[in-house]
Amino acid sequence: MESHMLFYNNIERINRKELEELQLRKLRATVQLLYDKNPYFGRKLRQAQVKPSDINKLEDLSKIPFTTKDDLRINYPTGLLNVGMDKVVRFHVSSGTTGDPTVVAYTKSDIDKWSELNARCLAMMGVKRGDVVQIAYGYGLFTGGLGIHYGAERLGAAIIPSSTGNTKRQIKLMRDMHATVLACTPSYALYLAETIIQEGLDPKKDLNLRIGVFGAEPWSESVRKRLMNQLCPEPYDIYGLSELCGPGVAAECHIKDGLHIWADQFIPEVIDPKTGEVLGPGEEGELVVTTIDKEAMPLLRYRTRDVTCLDLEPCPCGRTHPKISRIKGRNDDMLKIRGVNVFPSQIEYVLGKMEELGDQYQIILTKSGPLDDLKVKVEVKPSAVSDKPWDMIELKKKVESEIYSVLNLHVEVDLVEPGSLPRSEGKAKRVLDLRGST
Amino acid sequence: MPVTQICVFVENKPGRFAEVASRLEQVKVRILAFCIADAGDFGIIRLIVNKPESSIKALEGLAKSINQVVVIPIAEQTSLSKIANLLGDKKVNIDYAYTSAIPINGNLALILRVSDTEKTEKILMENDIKVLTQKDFG
Repeated sequence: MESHMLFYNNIERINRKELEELQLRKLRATVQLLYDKNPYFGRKLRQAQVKPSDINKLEDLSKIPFTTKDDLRINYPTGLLNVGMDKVVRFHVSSGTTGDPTVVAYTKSDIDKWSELNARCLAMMGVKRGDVVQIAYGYGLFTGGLGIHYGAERLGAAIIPSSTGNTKRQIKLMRDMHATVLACTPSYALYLAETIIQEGLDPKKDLNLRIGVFGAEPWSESVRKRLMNQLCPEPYDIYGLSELCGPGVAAECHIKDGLHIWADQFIPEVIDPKTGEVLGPGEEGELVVTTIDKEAMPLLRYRTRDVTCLDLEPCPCGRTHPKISRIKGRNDDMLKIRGVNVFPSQIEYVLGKMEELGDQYQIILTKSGPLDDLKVKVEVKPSAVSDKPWDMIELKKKVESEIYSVLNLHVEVDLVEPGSLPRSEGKAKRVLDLRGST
Repeated sequence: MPVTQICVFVENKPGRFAEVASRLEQVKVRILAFCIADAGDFGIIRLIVNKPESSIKALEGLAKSINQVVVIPIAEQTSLSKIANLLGDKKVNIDYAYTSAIPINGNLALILRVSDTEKTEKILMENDIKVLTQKDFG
């Protein structure tokens, strides 16, 4: 367990009271700065009649208006910049999968802090000097590749910056260079495992992978089990979003029961997405994050749209920073089917538990009359095939009833051939929305 | 000696049987018997071929199940009721049956998937009913 006891910075163990004092101090400074210097946020605060002197305790944060993705879009590309261009050393641009792209800027100090957060996350997972870290997140405008890269470099690990794509080469490198750590999206990790096995290799014997750093999309416990069986013994969840910096905002420790969010840099809140009301620990809602240590683009109460809950209980790992539960999905991923709220991750969890099914699935939304309808396509494992159609129909019914037991919703399941659903090298597109075309 | 049957799970859409048949043709495999059992969105293609091993290789990546079946040549004088009664009396269940697409060794053949393959072959041979083996398909 020695490797898991690695703390990159003693601030990870700072006592809770000191941490809160630090947060309040940094929060007040951030609010003061934006109030004085930032035309957009200054105006927003004045409109909400919030003065820096109103922030006297952490709970006062709730007086501050939310920032949303729309604020970033309105200010595209650099309207929210809080420093002169001579202080900016980097731009990243988010993929714009849910609308226009958004630009995020960094000063030298922002990059340094971001690097440190990733170093903390990786160290927490047990990554250390001597490890060979293959980073198969995209390098470039996307923050994933570079963020993890800086963290691994801080720890003195050897990096293979393989970026995305070229799966065969990824596998060759992983094998030849004896990679011990793999960083990529969980969906790509599953695809890698599948391809490795197809090539006749046994990941457990032919590879040296120890730790998986999987993030950039929500994934479930059943996928963790699959990755443990197929690829590497220690898959960890890492969380972040480009608006805040990129990966490294939060990650799992070896307890693997929630992700520590680095509270000396971020103040997390969970709110009811409808009313904006702040929810207590354990209550599920939308994660809202205030950055308290950023220079180029600080954000007040940024609505991440990610659904989670806060856990303030002390963690056996010794870190005092609060935890968020594994992300259930995005607010905008939530599907409302015949009055039932459905997160794709819930379906993934059910499918992942069933041994007869492969790793790939697709959720298809259609409209039948005024109602939305949902259908799940899932690949069967070759070993689950029978010569009798009835066995396959039984399997289909079993999947449908398992989904029903979790969602309380009748969902039609289509068993499809292995290899027939699209694979992804980055973020997987699990939901196919045909509601507009039917 | 039971005969190998290869079953391929395919989606019920155009071109799936074509893919299976072309892959086999490319490696010069002869399909001696086949049957498609459909179940709505998918179907199972059942195949009896002259070279099971190279067929399995040629069909790599497809979802398959490999089973054993009993193959009986049907001659003028073959009595289906006799075969069925012999098996029924000994509590062997016939799950499904189909016939070959082309003559094998001069005769069309009856392919039986049964609850107990070895027992079936034994019963048939004891009653002088010929059973084909994979070798007969050379």
